[in-house]
Amino acid sequence: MSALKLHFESHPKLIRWGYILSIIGIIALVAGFSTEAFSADPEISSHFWGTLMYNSIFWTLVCNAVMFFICITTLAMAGFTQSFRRVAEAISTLVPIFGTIAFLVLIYQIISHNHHIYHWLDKDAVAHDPILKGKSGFLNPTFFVIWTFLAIGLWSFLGYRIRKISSEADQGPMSPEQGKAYIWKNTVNASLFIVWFALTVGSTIHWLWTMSIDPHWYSTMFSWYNFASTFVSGMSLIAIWVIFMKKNNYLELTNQEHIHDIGKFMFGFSIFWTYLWFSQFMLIWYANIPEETVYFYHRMHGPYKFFFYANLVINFVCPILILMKRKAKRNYNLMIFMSILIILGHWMDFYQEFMGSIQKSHANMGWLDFGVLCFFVGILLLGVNKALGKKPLIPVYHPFIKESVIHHV
Amino acid sequence: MHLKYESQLREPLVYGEKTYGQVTEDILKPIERKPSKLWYVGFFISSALLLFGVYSVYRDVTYGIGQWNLNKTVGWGWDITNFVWWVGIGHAGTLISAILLLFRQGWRTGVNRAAEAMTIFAVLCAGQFPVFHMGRVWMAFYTLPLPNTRGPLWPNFNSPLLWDVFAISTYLTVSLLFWYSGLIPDLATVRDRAKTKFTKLMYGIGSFGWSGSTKHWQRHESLCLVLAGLSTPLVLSVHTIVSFDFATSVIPGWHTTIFPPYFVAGAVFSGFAMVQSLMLVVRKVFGMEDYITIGHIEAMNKVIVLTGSIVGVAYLTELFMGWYSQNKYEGYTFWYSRANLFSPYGWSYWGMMACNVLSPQIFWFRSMRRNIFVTFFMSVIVNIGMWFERFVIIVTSLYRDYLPSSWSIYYSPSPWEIGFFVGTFGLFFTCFFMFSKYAPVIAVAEIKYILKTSGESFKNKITKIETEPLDKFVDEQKHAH
Amino acid sequence: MAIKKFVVGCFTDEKELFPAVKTIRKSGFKIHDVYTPYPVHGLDTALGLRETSLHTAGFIYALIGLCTAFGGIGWILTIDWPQNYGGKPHFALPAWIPIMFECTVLFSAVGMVLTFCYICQIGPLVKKHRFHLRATDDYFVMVIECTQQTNTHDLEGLLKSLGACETKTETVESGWWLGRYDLPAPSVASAVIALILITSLSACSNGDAGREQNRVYMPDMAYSRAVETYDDKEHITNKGIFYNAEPAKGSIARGSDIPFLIAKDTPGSTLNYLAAQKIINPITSLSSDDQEEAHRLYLVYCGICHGQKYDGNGPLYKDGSGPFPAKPATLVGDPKYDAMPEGQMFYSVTYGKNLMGSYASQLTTKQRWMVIKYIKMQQEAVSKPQTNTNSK
Repeated sequence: MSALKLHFESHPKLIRWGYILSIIGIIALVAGFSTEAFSADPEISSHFWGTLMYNSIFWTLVCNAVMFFICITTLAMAGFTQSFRRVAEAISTLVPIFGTIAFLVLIYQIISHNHHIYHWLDKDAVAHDPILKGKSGFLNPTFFVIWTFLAIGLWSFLGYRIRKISSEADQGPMSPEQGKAYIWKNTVNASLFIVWFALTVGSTIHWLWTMSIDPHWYSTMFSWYNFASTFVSGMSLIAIWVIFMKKNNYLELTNQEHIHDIGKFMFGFSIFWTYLWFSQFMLIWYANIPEETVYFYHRMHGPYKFFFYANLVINFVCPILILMKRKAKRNYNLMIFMSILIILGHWMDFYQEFMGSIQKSHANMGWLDFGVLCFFVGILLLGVNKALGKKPLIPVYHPFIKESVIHHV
Repeated sequence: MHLKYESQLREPLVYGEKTYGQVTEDILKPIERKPSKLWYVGFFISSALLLFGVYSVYRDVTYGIGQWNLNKTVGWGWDITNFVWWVGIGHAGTLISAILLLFRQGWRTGVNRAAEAMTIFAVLCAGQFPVFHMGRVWMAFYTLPLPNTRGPLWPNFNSPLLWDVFAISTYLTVSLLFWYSGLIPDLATVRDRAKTKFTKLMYGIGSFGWSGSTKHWQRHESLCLVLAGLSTPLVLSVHTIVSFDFATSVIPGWHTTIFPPYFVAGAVFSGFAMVQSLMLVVRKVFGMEDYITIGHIEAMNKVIVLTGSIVGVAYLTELFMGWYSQNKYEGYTFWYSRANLFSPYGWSYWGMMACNVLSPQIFWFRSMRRNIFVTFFMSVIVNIGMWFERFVIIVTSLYRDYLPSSWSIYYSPSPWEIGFFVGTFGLFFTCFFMFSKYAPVIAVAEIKYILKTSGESFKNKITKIETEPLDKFVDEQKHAH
Repeated sequence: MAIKKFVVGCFTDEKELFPAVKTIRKSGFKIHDVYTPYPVHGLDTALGLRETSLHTAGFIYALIGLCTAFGGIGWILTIDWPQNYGGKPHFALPAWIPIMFECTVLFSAVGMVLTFCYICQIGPLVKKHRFHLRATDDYFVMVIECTQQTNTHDLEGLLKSLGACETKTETVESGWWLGRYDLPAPSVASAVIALILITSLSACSNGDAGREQNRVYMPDMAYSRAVETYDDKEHITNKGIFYNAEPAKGSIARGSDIPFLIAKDTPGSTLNYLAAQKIINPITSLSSDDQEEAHRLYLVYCGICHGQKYDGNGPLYKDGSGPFPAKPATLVGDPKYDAMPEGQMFYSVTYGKNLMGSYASQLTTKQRWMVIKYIKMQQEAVSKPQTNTNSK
């Protein structure tokens, strides 16, 4: 009889790389902070704050998308996720941390009245602009702060509750009645999360945080499009961590079949993302209304041309061609490569989404962008490493765990 | 494509002490016996409706579409409303068989066959409307890119209406292929049990000489899997393209980027409602409560509440953007022509909201999801609501356009417009009655496939395995392989 | 024809089937096939079958579909028929993507199903040999191919011991998998084709058969039976059709004259006659061609009473010797008529005055106004001789 490896030993390599990356990140941050953050030229200061904004928001939403994955599979009563759900839970513990960073960065924009990023913060401009004036019921500092706080707070809180309930599956065997009650409890809490998710990520939060950088522009698809972006990245993040654990001889119950399924999610939702991208772009291109095309024009023909096309190549062409084959989805190294590619691709999508609106005249992805990226990845490595050690790696008494053991694609 | 092991906590998908033979017996009963009186009554009523529809269409073709009450700005009225409505209904079948197959949802086996058949009939009904809206139907082939000596004259490939031609015909073809390739083994079962020479011959032709060879099954599974993989984006594309018919145009209330995914969600929503309506009747009339269980109904109700809520979020998003855009035309359409209850068509907007967004929320409650009467009632309500949705989109955006001088009077349909719609109901139900008499309404082979993991009597036997500690279970599995 | 011998064993449960397959294969027998009522998971690998490559075929068909659509649309819209649609470039790729996608799916699905039927050799009217009819119901039928050395009796015993509920030995002609269904297929097919041919031929030859006009089935543009857009409202209403395209009351068609809206006085009243003073002549000046025409009209219709010289002494009065009893008005030179507003003159010409009858049926609205303008010009010419332009 073999004992399952339930306890995760803190991984020295992870810690080392976590520290290296976060120190690189901190150096970049300090350098950026001292040279750019308070520059008299709003172009330069906005470059710093914009970079911080899109990175913190991207990583918050990606980790939150991992929690969304846990909840949606709970509601669908999925069995196969049980053998690796603790890894996903560990990733989702970073929502409060990244969320706090994002919150502070966003609040700072409001307090400092950074109207170079959020044009609607400029009271004079709003007073003379009938469109902005009309929108001020939604685009105003009070609502922004309250809604941002509620969004991040409730994601963190509801996620915490789901992780807490998950721990109950470690305590002891459940009778069928207890099992049913346990599933029910999971379902109720997951649906609460989903409802709040729909009201924030599924609609308002992207309008508030991202779309309002171009305060005149609007697209109803915008939030769903961004959701697809973060969800694909979230699935890729899970894939990387699960494969990392497998390579370090953890998660005995997870095998190629599970990775194959995660790969299908990455494949499917990459296409889904493309579908939303195409629908939004094509409709705006086709109707050719000036107040709508203004968003795409300089991205397609101006300094962001490279990112515009690279976005499609990395996030659509690569996944569809490489992940289509069954063997590719079962190859650990290829999956890690594809996951990193997809995450970077969507990170770049966020870059062009934010910076393309904040500094329209030139694109300069450089040391600051990669430095801040290193900072967040470093925190992620340290955070997940710590969270993994806190709980058994497999919810041994979860009613569906045995379905996850016998899982054939 | 199904779980190889299923927890006892999951409800069985097949009730009762069933053997493979019993499954065949139960499902083939309606084919092998004479139809009941109820069947005849239903069949004749639907044929009568069909005939009335044929007469309405005859008038339309002979006298032209002046027979309809379309007017200056409302050039699309009931016809396109009905077209979109039927196409939407035609989404559930392929969704159940394709997407749920990929997501390994075992419960789809109980309902997929009938749902796919429903899909095909619904798409057939849908196709009638744009074709007869052409007026000169015999010119319909002009939409096909045939090499010709007319110029050359080609269709406009940049037009969403032509995309529609391709989307609907592709969807019909692929759904038909998917449905029929699943049907072949079951028709072979009917053939091999047939008593008379004639039925043997007919089902022999229909079953393509299927013998059940392992190699054929292997290819068949591969075929179904790839068809499922193809159908999944296809289902999305069809209603997406239907939504492009509206969204590419510069008409307030139509031109909004969220249309594609929200139309798809709406289509799945109404499709599932129609499946519910049909399956509740089928399970009752044919006595198939063991195969289409309350668990199946609950699962479909979950899909309904999910898609209904997605649609709700989309409605609110649109409404919000009507204000947020500060575009006076959008604002007028959304806040005056639609959301204002006292505007001429305000009733339809609020009818839509009540039927599609508010009322399905009762399915958050488990007891409601499992209540057959509530389910049936709600399935009808949802379909009415989804009809309203299309009506709202088409008519409230059109009847007052940019030019106030062409604002039209109140649009209401003529008897022949209604007759055409009623006729498609006749077509739909006539086809469905024929299908339920001559083909297995449940996929026999697929039920057999899940029987030993999800059948009630088999589930009861795994208690010992269920209570086993995990590590011992894992060891046993390792040895078994 | 070669004849082959098979031993058939029927199982009722896949739990017995798998060990049986293993044992039979280990014992060196060649399993011809296993017929099952549903796809048994793992049976193909247990039988040592290769994985199918059907999906690769699907991928190839998909690529063909994609290229066909892209190539076709691209050629048509950029080379053969480059049109301007909404100011978009001829190479409008985003607008082609929907059809390219649909064709990809269509080609792939149709191609795969056909390939599936072909490689499995199944299709309508095809009949295959069936070793046991319950293979499509509830039996798992294992068929073992025998060689000369095979002892069928022993083999059946072995199958029985492995759990088979029923065994038998069968001899079958080889090549049966290509066998057709009971019906003589080629004849049916040819009958169908013949039927189609005859129908279409007779449809074509119909026009040449006689010289009389044939029945028109689709009276398209030639004799449209559809309701015409501006058909008489009553005509449409009689057909029971609601149609609201009627022009609003008081609308004037483009290019037509403004109507004269003053009605004829009731006998004894002069109300409308006086009201007509206010109507202004829509014709403000006459070109020389128009003057000539107005003069001609005057001579034809007015001159006979009012005289060539506008003096009220036309051939019909002739200083009292003509048939007309009362003197017609002196149009030029009489201050009453010099001062008379044109609208009032129009009233008189339209409805008649005293003994003069209505000229509405002889002169159109425009012609009446022209003649009146012409008379006014003559009056002016007399009062202001230096501007005399017409001495005819």
